[in-house]
Amino acid sequence: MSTDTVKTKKIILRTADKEEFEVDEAIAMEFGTVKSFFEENPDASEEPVPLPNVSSQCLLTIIEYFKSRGGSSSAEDEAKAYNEEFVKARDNESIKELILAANYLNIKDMLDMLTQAVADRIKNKSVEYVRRFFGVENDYSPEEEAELRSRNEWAFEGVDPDDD
Amino acid sequence: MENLPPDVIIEILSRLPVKSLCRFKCVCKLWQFLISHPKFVRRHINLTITDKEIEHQRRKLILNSCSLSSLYYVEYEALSSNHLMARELDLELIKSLHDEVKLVGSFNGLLCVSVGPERMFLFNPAMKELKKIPNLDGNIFHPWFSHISRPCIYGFGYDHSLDDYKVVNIVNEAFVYVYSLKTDTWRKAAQNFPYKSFNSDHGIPLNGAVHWVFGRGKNSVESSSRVIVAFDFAEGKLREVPLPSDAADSFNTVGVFGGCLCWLTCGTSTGTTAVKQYDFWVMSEYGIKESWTKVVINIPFLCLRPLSFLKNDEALLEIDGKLVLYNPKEGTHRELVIHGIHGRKKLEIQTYVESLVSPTLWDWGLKEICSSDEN
Repeated sequence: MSTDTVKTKKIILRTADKEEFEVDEAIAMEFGTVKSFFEENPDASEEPVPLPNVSSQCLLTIIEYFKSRGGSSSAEDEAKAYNEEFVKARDNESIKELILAANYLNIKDMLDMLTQAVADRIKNKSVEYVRRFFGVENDYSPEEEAELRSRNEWAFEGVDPDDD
Repeated sequence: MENLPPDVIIEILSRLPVKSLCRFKCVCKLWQFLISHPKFVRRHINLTITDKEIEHQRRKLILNSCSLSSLYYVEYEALSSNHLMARELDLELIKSLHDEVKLVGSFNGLLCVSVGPERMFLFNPAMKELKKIPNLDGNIFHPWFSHISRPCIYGFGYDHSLDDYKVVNIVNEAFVYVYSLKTDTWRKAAQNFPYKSFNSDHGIPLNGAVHWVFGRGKNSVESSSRVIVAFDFAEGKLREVPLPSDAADSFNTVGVFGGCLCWLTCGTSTGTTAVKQYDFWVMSEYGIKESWTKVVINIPFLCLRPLSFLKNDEALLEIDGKLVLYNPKEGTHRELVIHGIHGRKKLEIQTYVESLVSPTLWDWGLKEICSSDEN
């Protein structure tokens, strides 16, 4: 909890499950959605900002991410290492949930980092794994799919076996 | 748990390597449509411009040596070591022609290669797609005509205005022909070529044009001052780029470095041990004569050709036929040795970035995409 300056302004955020979080203004303003909210409602500085599409668990994780990451003055290598640690521990479902939250809150840097993490995770995976991951149905006929696969046969070499 | 929205999926896909994307076309019909769509292809390419990490993963060195019937590549990831293992590009169809392969140019993941004196191809190595460029009208290449004429001068580049890839062929230093990938045809662009060439160096693509260094005037007796000549695709004609005021006139060539045009001087060895240091110039604002900036490197050289920057701002250079990695901040450099290429003479090195640009799209794919565009 930051008590270094008396002037640190706090903003209250209210999540979908009606929990309220008090957050440093600096962090809250990283969320594009919050920033827009105050631009449109300049008199609302004391009221909680409603975030009906974010769970409290998610918001807590995101706030912790910004607190632990340090300011933008941290070295590029350190930031990169921190990002890798942050992602490594989380399973696919929690990463997806964070992506949805970061997308809703409009946090560009975090979204870039998370989408890159997903790309890295799936790049060597099979077609079936990817369909499950994104909840996509296969609408090819068996003949169409076979033809497409044979045309791109080389792209199927060296694919990780499915472990999910 | 709800599914990720389409714009997030597209963001994730645009960060994937080409091989993964070719495989994921099989996920479903929508994904095949998305991945092949020109807007997505453009977005995928743009990430290599805005994200250094992604550029580093997708960029490779392409190596070429005259007399070889193949091309070789080295991943940028390998550049952290001083010894590089070059691997042969998978070019089945081209290798079977058993002829000399020359790299004409590289842009947005497409390579333009000539195989022997009469065949040219456009090739995307990442997608393993190959397209033969039709020969120019037979009359132009009448055996008698080509026997006594000068070698053709080529250039490969990109026309922003039409999102089209083009090849320029300057025939007999008299006529300029341009090939368009989208129309798959050649057309004559100019009948007047008031320059003479010193070599058959290929043109350098930048900013919707292809650039060469020619001599002004056709009279070989008069001393020909050198000039940068560009074929501008949007305008469909030749124009000149102003030179730096103080540059030495000495075996000059052009190059591209960090997205800017460079003016390179090349010295000749005088036989003494001391090698004179030449500089090179970078045009920081394209077309603006005053923006020519001299770049000083503390490595002595006769011939320098810049290749590209790495993600840590080191510069990859070709110096006197060798590959050198230069650290401008510390002023240090190290030489990179390439292994795995047999029977080679002097190597020509270029860089290329993996992309989804398909040279065969307009042959059979576009109609399907256009019709499903209505969904």
